[in-house]
Amino acid sequence: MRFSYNIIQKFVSKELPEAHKLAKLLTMHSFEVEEIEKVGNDHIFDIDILPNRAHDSASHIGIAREAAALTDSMLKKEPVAPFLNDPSKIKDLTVKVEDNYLCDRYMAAVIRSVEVKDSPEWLRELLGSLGLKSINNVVDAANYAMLVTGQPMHVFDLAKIEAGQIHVRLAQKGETIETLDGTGYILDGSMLVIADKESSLAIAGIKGGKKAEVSSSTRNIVLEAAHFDPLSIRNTSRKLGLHTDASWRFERDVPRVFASEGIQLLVSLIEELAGGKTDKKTIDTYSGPDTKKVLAIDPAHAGAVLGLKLTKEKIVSLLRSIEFETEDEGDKLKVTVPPFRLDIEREEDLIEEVGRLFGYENIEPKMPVTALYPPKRNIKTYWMGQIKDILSASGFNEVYNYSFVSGESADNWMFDRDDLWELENPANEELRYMRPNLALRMLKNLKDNLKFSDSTMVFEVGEVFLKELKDREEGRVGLAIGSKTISENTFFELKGYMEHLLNGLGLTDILLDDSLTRDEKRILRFMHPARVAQVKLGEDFIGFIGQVHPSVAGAENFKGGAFICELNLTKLVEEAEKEEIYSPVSIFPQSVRDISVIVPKYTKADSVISVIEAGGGKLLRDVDMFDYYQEAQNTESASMAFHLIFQAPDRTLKSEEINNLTGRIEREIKNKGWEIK
Amino acid sequence: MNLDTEKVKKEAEYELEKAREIHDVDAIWRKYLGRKGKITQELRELKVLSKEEKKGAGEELNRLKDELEKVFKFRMAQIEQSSYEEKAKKEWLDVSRPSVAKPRGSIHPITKTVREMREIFGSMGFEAVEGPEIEDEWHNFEALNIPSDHPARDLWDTFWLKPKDDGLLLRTHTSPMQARYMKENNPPFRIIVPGRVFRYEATDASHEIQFYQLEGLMVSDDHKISVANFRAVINEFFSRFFNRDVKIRLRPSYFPFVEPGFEVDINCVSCDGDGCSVCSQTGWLEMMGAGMVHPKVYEAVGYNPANLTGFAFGMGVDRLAMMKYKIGDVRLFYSGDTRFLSQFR
Repeated sequence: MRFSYNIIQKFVSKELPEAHKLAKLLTMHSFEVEEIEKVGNDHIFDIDILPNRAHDSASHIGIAREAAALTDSMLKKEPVAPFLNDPSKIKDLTVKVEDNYLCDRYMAAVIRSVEVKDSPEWLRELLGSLGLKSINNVVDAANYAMLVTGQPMHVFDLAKIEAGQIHVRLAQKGETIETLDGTGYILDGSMLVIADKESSLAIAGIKGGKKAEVSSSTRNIVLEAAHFDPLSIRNTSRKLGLHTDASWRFERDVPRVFASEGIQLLVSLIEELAGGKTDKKTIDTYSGPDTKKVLAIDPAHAGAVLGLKLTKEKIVSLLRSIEFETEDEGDKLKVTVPPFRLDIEREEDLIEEVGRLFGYENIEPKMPVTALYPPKRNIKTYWMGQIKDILSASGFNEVYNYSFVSGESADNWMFDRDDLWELENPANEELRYMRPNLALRMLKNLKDNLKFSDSTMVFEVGEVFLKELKDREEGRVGLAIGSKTISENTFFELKGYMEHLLNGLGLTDILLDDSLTRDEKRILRFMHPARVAQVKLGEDFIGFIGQVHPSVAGAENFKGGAFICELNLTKLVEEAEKEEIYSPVSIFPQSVRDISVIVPKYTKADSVISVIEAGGGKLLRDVDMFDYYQEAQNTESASMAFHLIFQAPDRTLKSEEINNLTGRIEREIKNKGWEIK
Repeated sequence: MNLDTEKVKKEAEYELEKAREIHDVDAIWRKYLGRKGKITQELRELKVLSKEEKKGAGEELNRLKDELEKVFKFRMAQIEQSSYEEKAKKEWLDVSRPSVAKPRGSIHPITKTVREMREIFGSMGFEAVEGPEIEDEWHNFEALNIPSDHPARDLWDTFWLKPKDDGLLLRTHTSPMQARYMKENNPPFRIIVPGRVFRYEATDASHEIQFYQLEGLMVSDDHKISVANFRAVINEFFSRFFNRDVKIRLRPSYFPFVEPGFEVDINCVSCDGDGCSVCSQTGWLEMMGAGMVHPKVYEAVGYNPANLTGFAFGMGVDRLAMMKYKIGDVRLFYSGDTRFLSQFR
């Protein structure tokens, strides 16, 4: 909001420090001065008025009050003879407020025989530098008075008010009004209007209507200064999509006491600029000033919150400088809050006033003293760190993707849009839904990075979102390898990295289950049906691994091989946290025998290994497949070769024992109908 | 004896000089000192000589033998050395050629930044906790003294989930976790909450619709936590994070969930306070909002506000990461571009 340094100075008794110095003081104790612009012989400040102080400080007098307090000076207001509230003296105007809650103060004054013309140059320039257009001397005066006092006011042409009756009432549903700029609005029964006997004259507190517009032919004018309910103004403004300087202020609540100040200033200014006379009688529906708010402040408590030793005297002087009244009450202070400070509700608000005026920079930093309980170890954070370290050391680059996806991508990945969380107000169409998995965006990462690389590996740890999830969202770990050409080797690389990751977390009981039920297949339908498996730890399903379905990749314009593994983070953390139990290592030597088996095509390595292990028993420590061979022309069978590693924990195995065991293994193999090479 | 020892020695030395390979040396050695070698033969024929003749010739021959053994040994060593050098040269490797090992991956710069922040606060006893990204209106606004229909709501541009009536949204700050934590725990405590947050904003080099924040909350029930404590803790954090003395200033600000409320600036890391484009010529960079926890928040989570004092703060992690690593555009963090990401270990 823009403020004129010269106008601020007008309301401060002592000479103010130069503009930049004043700006610094305001920034450090009141509000941030974001910019200072020299305009002619003035400086224009752009001040970021805090939202809870708009009511009292979105005005030059408000800022002047702060400036005076900060420079050991005083607010200087011209003494004005108070207007008398005497409606009977205004013969040709009556005011009827039909809803005393929505409008609990309506002040009207009449000035007769004004000459409406252009404003003088000083006023036009000033309004321009503060961001307002000049209209005519009367309207400009009302805007100027608003900028000075903080009270928005409106001016009507008295002659155009039918029967001289002002009604402050709710609009009727469908009632229309044409505003000053020629726009038409359709109102409803929740909206407050200023009307005459026949029709509406203004949308109350928001914008004036064309009907009683002040023009060059206007002679007698009515000035309005009122208080409207902030919520009503806010709702009406939003519904109509109409936001003005006036509505902005009323939304944030204008102190009721500003109405009289505002109107007094406006009257004297109009008399000066446009001639005319008023008889200083007003209509005022105010039931009376509210009783002032009284709070208590405890200097000890204030000192404890700020971290200072504060004397009662210091607090008194600080509060008095901004027009708070104080009175001793034992150890504490009774504080009377000025009527224009609507934001002060409790002791903490007083402590803030004391603190900011004292200056937070004047508070010496002091480390807190507290019991030495060390922080609890965050298990999820610890294992997430381990996961990221293992994967990055393996060669994956960590990515952070958007949490949003487009409806089109969701369709390409064969998700049902009804299963996804949708945004009411997405940033754009591409970002309408919350991501149901990490794979969707990771495929895009692969595509992008393959533009300048033959192969790429990325991982992500993050939240995914599905309506069916109990907690609405779920943490996942995703790893992806992309390459320009499709090769089945990539799957086994990915499998290797996944195992490396799980082993690094102390998890070894890993199973890839590719026999899926119909439901399970449906859940993983975005993966290549013959190249996908569920990842299980023991019996627990923790995720999936495989190649992205070629048609999904195609729909997403991905060319090449995309292999992805996605695991449930919570389950990983749970499993990793379990105690690790070590088996003792044997000191006796191992013996290795090789065996080569010919099996029908589509026989899984897993099942051959199971058979071998069944035959070998406990002394067969490990079965390591080192070769897989399939002739291109041979569609019937494949051959697999294994190292069989025998070891006993308590003795060196003799050849006879080993021969026995290999014999058993061969029998088991032959029983399955497989051949041994 | 019919051996001219001088002549034989010269002969042997001459032949040795010409020898190039080890087997040449061997052959020459055999010729002179082998079983059928000249000198060995001579030594055998000493039998037929008289005792005196034997002694003289024997001494001479043995002296020759010793000298020749030395020469042979020396020459052998020479040849071994040079043949080894030649062999080594054939096996020379160009050590500057690229390695075969797969390159390391990388950790995301925001992960690194959050880790560092966690470490610094952790060393001051702050526990790290995390909260959900989809939040409800109560935790995100109402519990934090931000009622609906209040202009204060305009301070946050919220993404709402359908249907709007359900009151679910994407959290606009990590502050809701303050409320969640306080409902389950009693003071005294100190926590930090890192996490992804969402704001409905136009994106540009310094604004994104999703970014990271780190929230902090320290509450005590013995009336002892103050603004002075907050200043000290935050001074410590910034000095350690930027690894130098950093000037901090606190100035008044407003957030519904704190009172007093402040804004914390640090002096510009780019120009050290002199004024530059990074700090818009002010010399200061706005880093975080903070303040003393508002009693209404304590009431909302079921605490009795009497005797409770605490401070809370929230800072933008992306911003800190951009300052630390001199990154000019926040959108790079979410681009998935490995050329950018692989620079961070």
